[in-house]
This record gives sequence, C-alpha cells and structure tokens, in this order.
Amino acid sequence: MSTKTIKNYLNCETGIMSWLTTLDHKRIGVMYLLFIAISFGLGGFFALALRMELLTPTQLYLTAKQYNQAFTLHGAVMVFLFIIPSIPAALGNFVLPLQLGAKDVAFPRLNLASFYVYVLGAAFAIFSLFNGAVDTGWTFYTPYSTQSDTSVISMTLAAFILGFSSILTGVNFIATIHKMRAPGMTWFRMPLFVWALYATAIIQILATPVVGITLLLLIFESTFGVGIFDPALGGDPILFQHFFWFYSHPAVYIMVLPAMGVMSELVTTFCKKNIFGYKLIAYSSLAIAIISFLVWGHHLFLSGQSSYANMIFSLLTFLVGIPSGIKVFNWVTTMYKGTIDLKTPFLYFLSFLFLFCIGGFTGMFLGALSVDVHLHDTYFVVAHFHYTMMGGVVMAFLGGLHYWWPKMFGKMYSEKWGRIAAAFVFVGFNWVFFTQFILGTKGMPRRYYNYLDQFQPLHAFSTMGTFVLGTGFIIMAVYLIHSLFKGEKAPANPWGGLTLEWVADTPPDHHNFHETPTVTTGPYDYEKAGY
Amino acid sequence: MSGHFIIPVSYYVKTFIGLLFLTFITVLAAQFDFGALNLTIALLIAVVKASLVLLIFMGLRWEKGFTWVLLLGSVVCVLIFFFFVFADLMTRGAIDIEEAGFHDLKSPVIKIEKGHAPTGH
Amino acid sequence: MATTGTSFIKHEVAHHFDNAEQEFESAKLGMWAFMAQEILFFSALFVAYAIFRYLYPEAFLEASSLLSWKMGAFNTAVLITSSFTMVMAVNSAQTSQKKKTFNFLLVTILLAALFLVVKYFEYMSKFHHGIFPPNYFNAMAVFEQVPIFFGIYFVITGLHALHILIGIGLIIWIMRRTARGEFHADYFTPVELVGLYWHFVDLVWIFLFPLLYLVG
Repeated sequence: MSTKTIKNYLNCETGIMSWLTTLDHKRIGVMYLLFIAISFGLGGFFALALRMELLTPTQLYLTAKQYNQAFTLHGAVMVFLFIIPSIPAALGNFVLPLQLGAKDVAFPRLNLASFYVYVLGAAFAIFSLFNGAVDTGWTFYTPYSTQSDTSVISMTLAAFILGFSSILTGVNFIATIHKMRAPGMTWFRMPLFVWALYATAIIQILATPVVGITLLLLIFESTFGVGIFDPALGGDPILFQHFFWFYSHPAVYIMVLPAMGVMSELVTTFCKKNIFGYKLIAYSSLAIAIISFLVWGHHLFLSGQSSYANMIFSLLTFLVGIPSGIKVFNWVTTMYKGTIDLKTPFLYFLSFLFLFCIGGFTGMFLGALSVDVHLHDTYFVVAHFHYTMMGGVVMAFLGGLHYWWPKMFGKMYSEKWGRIAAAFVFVGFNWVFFTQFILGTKGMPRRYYNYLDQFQPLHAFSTMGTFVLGTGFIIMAVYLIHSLFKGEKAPANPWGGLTLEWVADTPPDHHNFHETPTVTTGPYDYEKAGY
Repeated sequence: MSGHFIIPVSYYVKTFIGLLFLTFITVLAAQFDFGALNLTIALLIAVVKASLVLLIFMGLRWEKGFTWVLLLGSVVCVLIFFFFVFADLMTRGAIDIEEAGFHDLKSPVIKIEKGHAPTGH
Repeated sequence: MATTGTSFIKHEVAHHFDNAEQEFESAKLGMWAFMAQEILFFSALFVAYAIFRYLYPEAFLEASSLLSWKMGAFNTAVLITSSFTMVMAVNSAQTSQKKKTFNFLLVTILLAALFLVVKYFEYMSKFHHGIFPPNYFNAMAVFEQVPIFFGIYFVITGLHALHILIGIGLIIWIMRRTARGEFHADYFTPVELVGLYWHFVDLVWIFLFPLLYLVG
C-alpha cells in the first residue's frame, strides 16, 4: 500500500458544499446517479405495492383510488425521474467528456443548473405524492385529468420542470460534441455511445418543449380554462393525446437510444473486437431519432383518430424496426469470433439483446392495426413496454453502471455477486413480464383494479416474480455499496477498453486528463491494439 | 475573436425599414377582402418578415451549416406536427362514409348459441 | 478598436476551453439549439390555433374583431424597433463602444416596457368587457366557440409577455456588465446571445399579429 494519495475528482475537494456547488461534470454525474437510484427505489416500491394488490381478484389492502394512485406514481416516477435522466444525465454526464477527451462539458454552469432544475422537479413530484397523489395514469389524459381531485397540477408541473432539465442537458451535449472533441477526434472516430447521446440530444431539444407546453396547457385548462381540450366548448380531447405523444413517443427513444449506445461500448470491450458496421450503427441512431417524430399516432389507434391517419402511422411505425434491426444484427455480428468474456456488464448486454428483441417484435404486433384492436390496453402492452423500457433501458443502464463503476469510484465490486444478481434480475424480470404477455393475450385489461377469477393464477405467478427481481436489486445494492468501502482498488483499465475514458486515471483527475489526448484511430481498433 | 466578422450597420438599417414597411403592408392588405387568400397573404408577409429577422438581425446568413440544420430541423418538426394532426382531423369518420356501401352497418348482430358455430359469415 | 476612453475588463477564457474562439462558438451553438426548442415550445399553440380556426372560422372572425388591431399594429412596430436597437447594441459592443451599447440597451428596455404597457391596457379593456379565459368568460358572443379563441389568445400572448419579462431581466443583466466594461471587441458573447433571444421574441410576435388581430 502506497501512502501517497493521488489527487482525483473525488478527493480534490472535500465537504458537502464542494459537491453542491461543483461544476465538475463527473461530480454532477455522480449526484444524478444518487437521485436516480433513490427514484428507482421509490418507483419500485409503488410497483411492488400494486403487484401485491393484484394477488387477488378483489380488494386485498388498497382501495381502488389508492391502486390508481400507485400505478400512476409508479409510471410517473419511473419515466420522468428515473429512465429519462438515467443514462444521459448520470452515465452520460460522467462519460461523455471523458470519451471525447475534453476537460468538461461545454457549459459546466448550465450543467449544474439542469441538475438543480431536476431536483426542483423531483421536489414537486414528491410534494404531489403527499398532497393527494395523482391518479390519472402517467399520461394525464383529458378530460379526466382536468376533473380529478388529486394533485394533477403539481405533478404536471413537476414533469414540465423535469422536461427543462432534460432540454438543458441536450443543449449542453450538442455543443459539447460539436465543439469539445480532442484533437484528431473526427466524427467517425467518436465512440458510439457519443453518437447515441448526440441523437438523443436532438430529440430532447426538438420534442421535449412540446410536452412542456402541453402540460402547461393542461394546467391552464384545469385552472381558468383554455377550451382546446374541452368538448363542451368545442375543444377536442384527442388533441391532448396528439400533443402528449408528439413528445412522449420520441421520449421512448430518448430512453432507448443511449441504452443502445452503451450496448455498442459493451460488445466491443467484452468481445475484444472492432465493432461491425460502425457507420451504420451511428447513422441508425440518427435514423431512429428522425423516425421517432413520425410514429406518435400509434398510441391513438383506438382513441377515435381517423382510420386514414391510423394507416399512415401504422406503416411508419414498422420503419422503426429497420434501424433497430441494423443495430441488433451488428452487435451479434461483432460477437461472432470475438474473444467473449462473460463479465457482469456483458451479462447485462446479453440480457438486453434477448429482452429488447422480444420487446421490439411485440412492438411490431402492436403497430399492426388489426392486432392492436385486440391487444390495445391489455397487459400485452404493459409487458411490451416493460420489455423495451426495463428489459432494454434498465439492463443497459445496469450494464453501463457495472462497466463504468470502477472508473467512477476506483473500486471493484464482487464479480461473483455481480453475476448472481444479474441472474436474479434476468430470471425475475422474465418471470414477471412474460407472464403478462400471456395475461394480455387472454384479454386482461391494464390498469384494472378488480379482475375475473380466471386470471388469478397468472397474476399471482407474476407477483411472485417481483420478489425474485427485487432480490436481484437488493443484492446489487449491497455489493455495490460494499465495494465503495471495502472493494479492491480498481486498475485504470480493468476491462481492456480502448475508448479515451480508460486512458484517464481511476478515478479520473479533476481535469480528466493530465495532458489532452490526441486521437489517431477509430475508437475500437482492437486489431491494432494487439488482440 | 478580434477577427470576428462584424455585420455592417447599413444592413440593419435597411432591414429595419423593410420590416416596418412590411408591417404597414400587412395592415393594408387586411383592409381588403381577398376571400380565401386572406390568410395566405398574411402568412406570406409574416414569413418574409420572419426570414428578414432571422437572416439579418439574428445573423443566420453568416452562420455555419449546423445552425441551419438545427433551425430547419425544428421547422420541419413543426410542419410534421401540423401535417399529422390535420391528417387526422380532416379525415375523421371519412372511412365510415366511404365504406358504407360495402358493409351493411345496420344488420343485426347474430347471437352465438353455446356449442353452435354461427352459420354463414 | 476605438475605445472611447473608458476602461475595459479583460476576459478570461474558461479553463475547459482551448481559446476564446472555441468558447464563443460553443456558446452560440448552444443558444441556437435553445432557439430550436423555443420554436417547438410555441409550435403546439400555433397548431391548436390552426385547428380551431379551421374548425370554427366564423367564431374566430367574430372573436378577432373584438381585438383592437391598432394596438396590435402599434405593438408590432414597437417590437420591431426594439429588435433594431438590440442589433445596434450588439454592433456597438462588437466595436467596443461602451456608452453606445449601454444606451441602445436602455432604449430596448424602454420599448419592451412600452409593449407591456400597451398589452396591459389591451388586457384590461378585454376584462372590462367580460372577455376572460373560457371558465370565466361572460361577454356576449354570437358563436359559442368564441371563448376558445380567447383561451388560446390569453395563453399565447401571456407566454409571449412572460418571454418579454425574462428578456427585460436579461437585458438589465447585460447592461450592468456593460457598465462594468466587460464587453468589447474581444468579448461580447452574452450581448450577442441575449440579442438572439430578443429577436426570437420579436419573431413570435410577427406571426401572432396577423393571426390574432387580422382574421378575415
């Protein structure tokens, strides 16, 4: 043990104020990570609460209203407080400037501001939780949301504020990627995670403001009236759904694009092979970003939208499959003849690959008009988006978290427990949600409080799975926190990655690099590196 | 930074006069009834004015490629937004009218007796 | 550059940038990205306007005739003039003319305030006639969808006025920094960015004026 401590971003300054006023992107990333972990715990608590209630066909321990509040809060907390900021704001903030070879993001003060905007939004969300928790579903559909006596206004205000946090992060990332790249880092030498964050930032800037104004209109509508969503005045409630999904469908890609970026990093590092089809993966991220603006109407197939609009939206929805498919095939091809190392992050990569394919394909089912008539608003839809959101995004987030954990904190976690937790999460997840595919095809509608007796076995089975899933997360929390205090010291490059963040110290220096790196090759040139 | 291009003041003055003139034209045009063209004319003038502000006052004319991409991208997004909302609104219910000849929408529903498949279709 | 005998403060480039050029370009790019989100922010209101104008043309015609187009036209001229004084302020900052920058910014603020005053009298005359947002609307109208027009009118002009208020705050902020001598030919980024924001506010009004005041 050497007694000389090397200064890094964690110990260069101490005290709580040095964290709260920091302009260092790494520290801001870590603070986001903390808040996101808490939000995930909160959202998970509501998930558990409502799965428990669904053990029996009739009331178990929640009233119908409490049940509605539980699923609304589960959705709202998970979407607005956890998934949207998870990869871009937490991992992205930490990794992006490192991968670009930059000293910081372009606007460090704006970065800190967007963190505090996030905290403010979270505070509003928590306030609404204790002040008549909202029961409209996380989509806040009118006309119910303008009439509900729960705290719709404070929750929509929270989502509005959180949206601004997301926009500011997007602005920051775009400027950073354009202007802060290290010498020699051309566009096609950028790591694919950066490309994914770039596509994400474009959606954040162009789609998020629309949900901002929509939620503001909803607030005005329920306070002094605007009339545009109110049929009594000649308004149109379906218009709300248009406005809402114009953002919220692209938002799905705000969640999943960065996840795909993490996947590209994991597959090269743990197969020790150059990525197959670098440019196609980069371009397909942009393609997904563009197509994401053209498909929102598939949420409105059965809402009274015109049949012709349905047909156009259905057709466009299928197009999303093309760039997604390109990515999946390229990852699989990268694995071919690679030196595969089944470390914990790679286990999450494999989980993503498997679960996201199921989530994606069932999305195609739902995009087909006639099939959607049967499956709309059933547990099939619930299972579908959990397979993409949780099976996709959360798996990638966990993969990325385990991948960059040693870099972030300079400590190794227990590989053995990491693999055990990954197994629990994978099995538990499928246990809970594959069951729900079956429930949905049998006709169980989503968001129902009481249900027919014939569905009980499947519901009970699904609820049992939540305990397996939860156990996985508890194990993970224990060994990750344990590693912070008792973990082995991490080397600078534990996985043999080639992107620039592995060149920096572990944990990185306050200024990231001692001298600005110069880039001469692509990001994944393992052949030149001797593999 | 010192080598930064500074837009000559004469551009600003001309643009300012042009904008005031176009405002006058907008008001003038509104005094006459062109029927269905009213909105088109008003919007056309507004677009010209907006372009002047963007190109000269905001200096877009001297900006590099990506600024144009951002701006045009956002305009395209707005157009997509308009197009699809109107695509829905203007064709709602149209299919029921057009397909009314193919299906007898008023025919009674045949009740299925237990154990007997309905005959015909 | 000709400095008018006043002292300027030398600008320090932030530590994470290589040079002033990179700093300026990044800031400008970020501001344009922010402008893109502002366009989308207002777009939903314009879409709502278009839909209901398409659905209820007569109601919109009637409602629009209740607005005073003279006030609207006057305010349009005020905003355009303020945009002009803003570009002149930016130009003065770029050529290190501290006094001139300050004065042009001051005129811009006065014009912005004038806009808000006119807007205030406009709102008051509407309220006086019972024209409120739909939930409190109690004016006489032939068409029953007239309140929708005013619902949209109050939201969109209200948000626009809010942008003007924020703009006034931003201009006061750069005026103080101008007085301290922070802006000159080597550093004028904040003036230029606030200018971009201010022109955007003008841009929105350029569309609002014919759409709200001159229907038909």
